[in-house]
Amino acid sequence: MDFGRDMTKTPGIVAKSNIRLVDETHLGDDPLDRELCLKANEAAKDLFFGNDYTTSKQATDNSEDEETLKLIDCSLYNEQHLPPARRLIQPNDLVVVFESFNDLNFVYATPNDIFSNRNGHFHHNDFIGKPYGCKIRSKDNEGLGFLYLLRPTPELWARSLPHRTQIVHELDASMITHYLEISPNMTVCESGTGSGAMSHVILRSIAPKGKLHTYEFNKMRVGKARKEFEGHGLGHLVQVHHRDVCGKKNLLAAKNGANSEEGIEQSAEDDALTDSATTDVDNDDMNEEEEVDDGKGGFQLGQAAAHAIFLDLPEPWLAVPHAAYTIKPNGRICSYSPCMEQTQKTVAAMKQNGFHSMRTVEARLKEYYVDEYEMETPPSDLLDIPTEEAVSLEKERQVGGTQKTKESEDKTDNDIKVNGKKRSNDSVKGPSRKILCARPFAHMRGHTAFLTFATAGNKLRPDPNASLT
Amino acid sequence: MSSTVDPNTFLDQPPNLRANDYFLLHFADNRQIFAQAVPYKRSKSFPPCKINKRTYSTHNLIGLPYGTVLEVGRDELIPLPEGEDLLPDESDITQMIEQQQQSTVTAADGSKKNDSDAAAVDVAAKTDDDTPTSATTAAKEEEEPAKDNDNESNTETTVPSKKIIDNRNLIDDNTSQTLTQTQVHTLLSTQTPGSTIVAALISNSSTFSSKTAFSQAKYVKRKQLKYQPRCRIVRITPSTLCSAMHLRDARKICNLREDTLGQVLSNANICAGQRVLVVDTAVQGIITASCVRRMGGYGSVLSLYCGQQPGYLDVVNRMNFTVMEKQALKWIAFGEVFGDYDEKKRQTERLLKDEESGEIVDVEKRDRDLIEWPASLQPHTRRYLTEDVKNEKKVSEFLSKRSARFTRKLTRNTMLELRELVDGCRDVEENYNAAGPTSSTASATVGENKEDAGAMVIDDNTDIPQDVRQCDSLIIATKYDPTATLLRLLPYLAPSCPFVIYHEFLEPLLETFRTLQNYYVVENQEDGNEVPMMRRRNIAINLRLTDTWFREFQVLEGRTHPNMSISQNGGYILLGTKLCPKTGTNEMDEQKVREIRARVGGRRGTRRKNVSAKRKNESGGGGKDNEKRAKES
Repeated sequence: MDFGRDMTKTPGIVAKSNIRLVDETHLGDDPLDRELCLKANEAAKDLFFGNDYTTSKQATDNSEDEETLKLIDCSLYNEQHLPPARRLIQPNDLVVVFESFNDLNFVYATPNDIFSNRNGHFHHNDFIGKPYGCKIRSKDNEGLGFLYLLRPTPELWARSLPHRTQIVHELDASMITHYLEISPNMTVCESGTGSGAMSHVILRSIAPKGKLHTYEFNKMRVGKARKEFEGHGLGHLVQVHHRDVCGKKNLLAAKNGANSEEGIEQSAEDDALTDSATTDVDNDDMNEEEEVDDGKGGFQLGQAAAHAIFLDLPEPWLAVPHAAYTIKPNGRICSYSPCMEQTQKTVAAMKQNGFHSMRTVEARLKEYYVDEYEMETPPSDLLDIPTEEAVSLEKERQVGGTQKTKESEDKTDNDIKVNGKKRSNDSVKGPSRKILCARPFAHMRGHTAFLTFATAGNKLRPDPNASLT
Repeated sequence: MSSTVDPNTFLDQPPNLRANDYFLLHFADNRQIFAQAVPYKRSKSFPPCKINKRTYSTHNLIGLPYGTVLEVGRDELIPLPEGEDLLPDESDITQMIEQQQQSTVTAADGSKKNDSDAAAVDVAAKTDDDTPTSATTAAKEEEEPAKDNDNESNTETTVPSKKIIDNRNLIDDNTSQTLTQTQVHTLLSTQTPGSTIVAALISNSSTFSSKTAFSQAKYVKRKQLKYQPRCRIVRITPSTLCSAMHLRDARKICNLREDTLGQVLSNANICAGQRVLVVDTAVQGIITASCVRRMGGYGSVLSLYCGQQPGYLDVVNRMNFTVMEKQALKWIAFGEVFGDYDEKKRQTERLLKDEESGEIVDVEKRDRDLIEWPASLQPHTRRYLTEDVKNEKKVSEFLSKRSARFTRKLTRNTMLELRELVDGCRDVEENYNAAGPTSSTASATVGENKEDAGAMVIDDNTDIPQDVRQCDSLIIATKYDPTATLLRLLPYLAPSCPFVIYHEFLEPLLETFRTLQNYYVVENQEDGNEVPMMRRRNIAINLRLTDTWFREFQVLEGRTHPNMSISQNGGYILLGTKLCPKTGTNEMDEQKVREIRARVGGRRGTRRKNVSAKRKNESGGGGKDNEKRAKES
């Protein structure tokens, strides 16, 4: 995706300003000029280090290392832009295929390949060289079928990607990035990776120099996710770890050995692990390169390494102590759980591990259906008051029953017409006006998950793995 | 320039409060107050922080880490040690009550006012001695941080289990509190610690002991909020800025709720390095500020404003932007986009054309370029300083203000630079549309481009210089007509890029939605036809009009439920993706499509007919299918 590309640097207004540190004697030996240079340097520091840097320095400490002073040079502060978005589709580009609002798909534009759907067959050769946002006609059916080719964004990707697991939906994903306050160059942890929909959203926000550590305990998903990230040109922003951050193997072993001090309930699904756990737990040496899941749990990034952590796990409370160790002071954490029971346990675990400002929220997207609606004025025509003639005719008809002559039928019609309008449904239409209307869709996604956000305390927390061994 | 240092990584948001930084104070009762860390004890112009109609100085907060809890004292904000929460530990209070109950048996039951008054103050003094400062209690807590979590269970266990405790015997006649208001005032004026007052209130409440554990906890919390107010230093980020503004006056920001803001940013695909066009005059620049922060100083945000200068700079500046972020933010006057294009060019020429060379001279830029850092003193300034001012302190003050002014002056884009930037965006589209016949006019033959597909694969980035690129996303949140605004701004947006419109009301967006769905352009006017041909043309797809239902929960063991009052609406969002103006259109006219369909038949052809019939029948009733299909362009 586009945000993974390298930035181009161009000297902007700041770089051209020539603001930098100057010698005290830059303008000569006059005391006034000396003073001016000193003040100019202070102003330069304030400019580059933000609000009134000099005063803050005095408030904290006075040491200024040389590395810091090097940064007071406007030539460092170039404008950095992504290259303009590619207008034309290149071979092997990821392209989102927009069939209709609810049918999105994706292709890698491979020469001589064919994409088929219910609207027809579409040749990739037609895609290549066309601009993004174009409309493509099908090869068969005389081009009756069509589709649109769009440039991928994490949102469109989430709607078209191959589901390996339940994905974090767009609304939740937007709330998570927003409330986790993810911004460029941050280090973020995510567990588990799943289908990678949320990973792409996070990656967009941490580009260009951030790092996403994403953890997944299913080896197949790890492989697929890695391949996807590479294919989308995001490999340099992400590291996919094959690891169970909860460290259930280890917990289980600890529980089997001595009684688990935290009294964590073990779910039944781990029965299979029990056998191997006892042998694995002794294996202390861990190789980061090969990403062997040693069953220890945790994020293995050291203390206070991540700005934000996102947990999408069946038992997030098991990962909370690890998260507390890995997260930076005042960092943000989010746990995504569909059930209230999970949320309650997680909130309790967060409280215990020094997190504060807990906030549990839920959001649903209400989509609107828009249509032009024609409103007619109610019909105002009067009904016919029965005349003597008409009444007698009616009587005659009732008496005559089925023996209606053609003559009498004609007569009836004529009579009624004479009386005024026909007594039918075609009443006189009043003037109508069109208005634009909207109503919510008849169906909506009723629930995705409860999102629990919290802020880490400023005190560093111990490594939970240290206490286990 | 060759340095490997990336200033952006250094300029990461600092963990501690700096001088002149803006920050938020979050209270336990959900109040959120803006404050600034002013380095002087007394500020001349404005109060740095105002809580409960009192002004507090913030100079003592500089250097504290974000997340620190402060106690709102009588005269100052007292930073509490790490580990303290917004609500003080209840266990202190329960201890205190026990002590008090031993000594105030007489005071509590007394209807003799004077006696009880004296006793209460007495108690206050006594407990004051027992726990001299809150700092020591805090230190005590720090030793046992786990204690904090057992609050709930503690209170539960302290309640005697023999008695049935519920509201059956409650007499609500407003006499349960024997401590009078004047007595409380006396306590307050003698600077009694808040915890003592809370304890006194509890021990003097005749009904407290007959309350359930939950209701006792609630009572204590309420009293603590009032008598032990605390707040937390919170960084200003897009979400906290928006929520604080929303709390203060939601109407001022057109009811933009913070989760809606998050959606706007996500759906607009905001990321570092982009060029983003923002019109957010209706929401006080919150979206502009949020985009800048999301992009971390990479790329640029073009934000439109009306008037001489944006009226909400104070809001935007609360984000404590770094120099890179400030550079990325470019304010553009409305007229640059909405003004007459040719008139603009004429104006430029009229005003700035140099008569001799015939070139346009940017006077502002020329002046700016003449300044050489550190901007040596002009003779008259020097004279003024040496002869008129003399006072050393005043001279140095003058010089530092002057230097700061020059840093601003040197890093400000001139109007003409910005005009070129904006016009560049538009020119790309104009040139693109002008180049060659559009495929919409040529009768479409399927696969016409097959042969030249290979030839067309060129990296077309190379010929678009950085300063004339189109925008990568467009966000509109304005009180002006959204349809007109969008149509005017769409040419500035690159094809296949998202746009998002926020509006407080639904109806204006309906019109926009409808216009985008049925957009007609006039064609073939030069053929001599009297009646111009109107052709339906798609300019955008992926249209979606939504609002969000959002609620917050109270999560407590055994007491989990949604909040009693929640926000009912956070504004409406219309989003879409711009299509390529040349090849994204309906290149076949309806007549031709009908012909083909008649020939081809098949599922698609027949089904379509049914749909149109069905839609007529239902006339607005509609099922989900109807809705789905309505979204297809």
